Amino acid sequence: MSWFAAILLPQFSLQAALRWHEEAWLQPIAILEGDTEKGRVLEMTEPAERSGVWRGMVPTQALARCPALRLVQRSHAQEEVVSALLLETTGALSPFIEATAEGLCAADLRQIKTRDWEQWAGAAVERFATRELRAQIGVASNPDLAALAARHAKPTLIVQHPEAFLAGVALSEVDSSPDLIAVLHDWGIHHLGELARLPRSELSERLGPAAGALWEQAAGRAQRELRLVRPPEVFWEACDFEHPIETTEPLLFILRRQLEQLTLRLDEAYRVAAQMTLTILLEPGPSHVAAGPDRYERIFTVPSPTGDAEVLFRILHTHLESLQLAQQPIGVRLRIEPVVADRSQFQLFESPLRDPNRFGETLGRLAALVGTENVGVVQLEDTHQPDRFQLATPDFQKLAESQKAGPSESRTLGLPLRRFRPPFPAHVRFQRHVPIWFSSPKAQGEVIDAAGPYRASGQWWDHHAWSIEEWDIELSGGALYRISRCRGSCFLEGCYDA
Amino acid sequence: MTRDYVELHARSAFSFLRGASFPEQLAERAAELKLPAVALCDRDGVYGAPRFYGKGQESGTRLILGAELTLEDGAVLPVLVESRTGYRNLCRLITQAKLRGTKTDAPVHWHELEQFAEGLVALTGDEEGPIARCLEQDDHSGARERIARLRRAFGDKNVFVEVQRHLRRGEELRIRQLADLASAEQLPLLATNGVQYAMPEQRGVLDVFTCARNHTHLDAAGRLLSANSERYLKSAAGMTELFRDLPEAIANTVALADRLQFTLANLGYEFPTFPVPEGETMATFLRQRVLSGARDRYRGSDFNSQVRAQIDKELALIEKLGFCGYFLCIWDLVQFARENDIMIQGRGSAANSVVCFTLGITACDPIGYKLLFERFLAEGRNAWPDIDLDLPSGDRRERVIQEVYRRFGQHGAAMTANVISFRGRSAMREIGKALNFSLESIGRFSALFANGDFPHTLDLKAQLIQAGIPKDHPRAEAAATLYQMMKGLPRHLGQHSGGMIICQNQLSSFIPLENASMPGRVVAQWDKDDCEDLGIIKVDLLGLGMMSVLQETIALSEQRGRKVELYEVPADDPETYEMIRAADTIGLFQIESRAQMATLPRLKPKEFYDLVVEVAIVRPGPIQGGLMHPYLKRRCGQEDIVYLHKDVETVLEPTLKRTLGVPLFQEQMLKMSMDLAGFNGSEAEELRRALSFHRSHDRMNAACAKLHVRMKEKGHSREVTDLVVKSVQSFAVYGFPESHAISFALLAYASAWYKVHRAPEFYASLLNNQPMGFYSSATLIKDGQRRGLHFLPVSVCESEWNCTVIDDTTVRLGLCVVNGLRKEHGAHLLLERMRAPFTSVADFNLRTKLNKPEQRTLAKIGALHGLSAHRRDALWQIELPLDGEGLFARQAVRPPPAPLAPMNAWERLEADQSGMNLSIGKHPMRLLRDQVPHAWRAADLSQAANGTYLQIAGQVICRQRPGTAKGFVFISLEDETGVANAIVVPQLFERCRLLITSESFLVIEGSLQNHENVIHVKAQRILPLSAPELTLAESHDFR
Repeated sequence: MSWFAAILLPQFSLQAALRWHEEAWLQPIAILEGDTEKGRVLEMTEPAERSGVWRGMVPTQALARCPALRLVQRSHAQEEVVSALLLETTGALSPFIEATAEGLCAADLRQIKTRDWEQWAGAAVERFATRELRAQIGVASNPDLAALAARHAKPTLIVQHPEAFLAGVALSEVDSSPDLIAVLHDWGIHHLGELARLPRSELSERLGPAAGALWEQAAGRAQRELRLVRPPEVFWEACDFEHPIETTEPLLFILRRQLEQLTLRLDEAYRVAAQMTLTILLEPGPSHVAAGPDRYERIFTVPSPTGDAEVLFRILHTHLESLQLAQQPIGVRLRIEPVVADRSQFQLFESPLRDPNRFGETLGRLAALVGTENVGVVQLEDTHQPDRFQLATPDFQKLAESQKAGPSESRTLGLPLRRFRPPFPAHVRFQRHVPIWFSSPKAQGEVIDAAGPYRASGQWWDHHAWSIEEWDIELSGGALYRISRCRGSCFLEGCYDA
Repeated sequence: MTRDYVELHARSAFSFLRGASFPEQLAERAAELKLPAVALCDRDGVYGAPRFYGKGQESGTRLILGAELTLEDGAVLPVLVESRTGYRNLCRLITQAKLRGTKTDAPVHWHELEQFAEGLVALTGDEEGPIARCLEQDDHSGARERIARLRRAFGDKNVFVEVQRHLRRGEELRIRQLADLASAEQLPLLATNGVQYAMPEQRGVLDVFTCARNHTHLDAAGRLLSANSERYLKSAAGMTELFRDLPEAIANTVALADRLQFTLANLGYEFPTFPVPEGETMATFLRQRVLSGARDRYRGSDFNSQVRAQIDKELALIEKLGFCGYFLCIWDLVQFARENDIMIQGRGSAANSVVCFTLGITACDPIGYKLLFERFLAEGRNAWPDIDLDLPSGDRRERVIQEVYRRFGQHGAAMTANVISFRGRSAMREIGKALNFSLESIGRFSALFANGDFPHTLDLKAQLIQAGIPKDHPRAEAAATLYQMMKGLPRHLGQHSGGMIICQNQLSSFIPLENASMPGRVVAQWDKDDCEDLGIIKVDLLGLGMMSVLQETIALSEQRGRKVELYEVPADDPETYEMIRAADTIGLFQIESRAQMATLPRLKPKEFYDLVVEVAIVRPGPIQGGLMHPYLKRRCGQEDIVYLHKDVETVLEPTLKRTLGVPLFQEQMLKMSMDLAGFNGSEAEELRRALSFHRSHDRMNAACAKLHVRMKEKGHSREVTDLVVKSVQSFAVYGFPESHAISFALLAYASAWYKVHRAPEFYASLLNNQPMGFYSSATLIKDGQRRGLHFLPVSVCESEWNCTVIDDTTVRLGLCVVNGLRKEHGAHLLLERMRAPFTSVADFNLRTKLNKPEQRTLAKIGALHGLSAHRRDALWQIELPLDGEGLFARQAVRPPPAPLAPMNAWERLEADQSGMNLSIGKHPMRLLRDQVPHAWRAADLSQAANGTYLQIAGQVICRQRPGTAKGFVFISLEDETGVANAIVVPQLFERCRLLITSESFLVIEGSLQNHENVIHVKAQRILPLSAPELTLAESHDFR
């Protein structure tokens, strides 16, 4: 007789969201699918359920039942992490695995020698616990039966007598077409036992082969092959914080836990980390960081690929020590690009140092001294603010391609301007808003001609509002300059090559 | 006045997301800057022109009409109107493009310009203009080619090369190119500022609009946003200084403006004409129709000298004002409706006119009710009469609307526009999205608005804080400022629910028309106030669900040989009044709401005029104005009747006597001003209009000042004058025309009479015309059952499409109540049944060919009874596939019974609710009663002593929080015996807000209040009543 195991992560979305917040299971929390206005409750913790919060409720109704309820948006990123983790961990139990549904995996146990399935399943549950996951495991003679058993498992269930078990299983637990379930519901059929009592042929005749298959399942006779998959080879972790965090410590704490998890999994897969991508999700609102308004992202190349959590953590720690974020972090993602330990090699810009990781760390510290904002490649920003640019992390591959492509075609609007960085403070005398005399550390004299003012302003919607007036002036000596006035002060911005 | 610059290119917010100021703000600012004129060039329309024109008349700024036309290649061409021909051409050109295109994409073709160019002047436009777009691409030959096209279309003298200077780096090159082009082509240069807002600070609003148009937010919009704030309305001095290098460009603005003398006063609109028989004029024909109608309406001695005199007076005025054609058109439309079996009844101020009454337009006799004709029409007043016609809602109303289009041509009639503006929620939604606030904050901000008509009292900053945007949030200030600036700005154009303007095949010469979202409808670019201000006559064709119900009730009665026409309904029927006094008014017109029900037992209507008062008094205005309680107290003798002030008692008594001294109707206010201040009819009407004209406070103040002066001249004391002015002022907000109330009361009484005397017909019609009124079909059925009616279930063997009457106490539900059953499928089913009765489920299945969900719904709700043993038997059989020929299906052989158990009571209820949103079976509360053994049933509450602390429970059918109730909330709970009402104090509502608004069944505990048979429970505790999930009909919430 073949045996199959189904591994279910009950309340999958809730587990994914609360994976790093064990204490949250004791609070009334509900996961919402959809936005706050039109969303519906998807899953909830036990305290919430005790207060009358049900699946499918709208948020207002749920809050009416349980005023202390905390509504949490479904996090697809965290669910993706947990899905991968489920497959990866199941893959360690058996080579023949199936990604049956969201939060549900099946494994063919024909390779397993044991017959003490209780003990085997218990050990597997423990293994998931080390990944901070609560698993329920059902073992039965076919995959669908095992999946149903997993739903009823506490936390394990071995089905020795299918018919007795199936009689009490609700139809809603079965993975079948909602239309079919709705028809059966109208018929007053709510449990598999009731379905199994219907004549199979007449059922199939009326509702088609899907109903026949469901009947087979209800009768415990369904047999099918697993749709085999391979565990993914991505290693990443995600965590959304309950509240925006104000200091670095909680962030470091979570990152360390994530690294420990990831290196454990790397180790089991005989891999080491070659690159880490750190993404910090930020509170919505103004932002001046490179990766965009809602997140901060940085890629760390691990100079010497390693699986040592401590080394990897030091790289992150060094960077985070000096990082200043305009907004508070609300979540963190850490992704590791693995390589096989033996085959890693140095990249083009890396040198064979005695301890490359330490060198990387040192570079990080240097960046901390001069500021990360002073390291990178200059890019003009999409704004009317003159000379506004940002520094982006260099992408050497793209850089090389753009060099090959040659300079882009751009229209010349006037004389070349040499900018002074930073601009020199200047003193300008105006007559009826026209500059007539100019003085700065670089140049001074009577203005014999001027063009302007040219006015630009922007970001009026927050504290970073700016407004600038510019003139192009010609001094008596014939030199041409660009000057500006900003918040009452004048500057020499640059000189034109005449 | 400075005359050295005229702004000839300005956009208002009526360019919809492309301008940030009201037209009135532009006019006002232009006056402050002493600009003699401004050309308003809204995008593809003249939407904002009447408003600018109105304000300009007050402030002394001349409106030059114009528009920006979107061309087929995406370029935007501003054109200005020089003459009436030009204006007509502009309207026709826009209409042609709009009717051809879609709502969002209706460009003008280049070749059309030539056809409609006469009387128009073209500018070359700003950066979106055809020339600048070519220059931007360095396509100089393209620019010259487009100039040549414009010259060909408009003529050499009517093309101006437009230059704008917004102090942006790089624009000098463009200006030089344009100047060179003008010089080479020998065309005049014209300076404009391409105005997009009146004041620089409104640039932020424009940036938010830019984000909305581009579906982005301010942080990401980059160079889509304005570079600076220079596109505001600038002074002549400012523009002269800005273009000191091109003085001719400034001088040309004045020269061109002098040519553009057309104004909206020269619109040339003419009232509609009506074709009359040879030898007749419209006036003689109208008189003939009126006298003929009068002989029908006033039989025998009723057709007396008073009636004749009034007819003569009205006809003389109608003829003098040139309205004969209009009245005949309306009469003809009414005739059309009658001939086509469409019930029609005029209301509103038209009911004040005996001419309307005799023409059959209205149903109430203004002489009998002593109504003031001047409320409808008066010599010397600017506004023309508009006639409101009530029609059965739905298809029949649409037929009349389409008939108007047919008679007056597609370009001869249009619905008036309804300008959809940014209100609190929509403004903050757009601002929040632009400022990149979280959706949650925006949602919370919206949720904090008061429900229904409850006044919004939360301060803006506090609301932002509660929405999660604290005071020190870097964008909170911007949000608050933008919010104040954006509120009220137009967002897009909708269509008015029933207002139509007409002009024999000429309308598109006066107003551009465009397609409405609804197929077959054309909408004008102006709203009804704009049309009225410019003297364009309109007729309101309003849909009333109750008109449909009454028409159907009469038809059903006729089928059963007991027809009573509306005009035959006996007046003063005791049974009808008894039912009304008992507030047994579910399903009736106007008097079925909770507030009306709470007033009826106190007002105790005994005759028709009591109903008129009832209809008028239970409204937010009179309640807020504190009129209801004095009237009710005076009515039951608890308070003396006074006529405002003892000094004017004798003057006011004749006017106010019928409302016991309480001024309730607009006509009374008009008469008061005539009697006390010596106003003539038009002055009185002008006062009413000024007071109800929300757009202008100045107009209101001026009208009150005039009343003050004239009363003083008449020798009234200051005390009396102040009292009258105050009363008139507050009255303006809530005033209701008496004629309107009479028209409504007629329908209210008729609906009550039919409910008493033609109950099955009335309920069947009510069900056939859902959704309408205050209550759902489920509640109407329960109400009918309590009145002794039997409702038979939907049956595929018996039911028609509509609900039908079986006998005096029985109604058969029709297929129309079945959710998801398509009407054409229903019609096919009925056709098949007519051919031969269905013999089995399989036979039914084979011959009807309904889709699976329809079959299942019919089986589930028990509509296949007679062909199957029970609902689940039908569900089992309906799934059986048909054999190829269907031979066996036709045999009436009963198949073996289904192996499924019949539904229990709760399952049947659930099936009914999900399949029909109603149930003729047990009320859900009967099934839930065991859960609340101590709860009183609604029908038993009258037995309880006043003040008893008790519990009620039921399905929530109504939640209301009227603006007049100071935060109190009214909840109606329906149980198996009737409806129980509860009052919730504001504090308890705040504590249980979500419970009240989200639970379908509630248990409410509190003390019983029985005041003159108006029974309420004053809630002290509210609990949810858990019920299995049911798809319940929607309750009437906060509407």
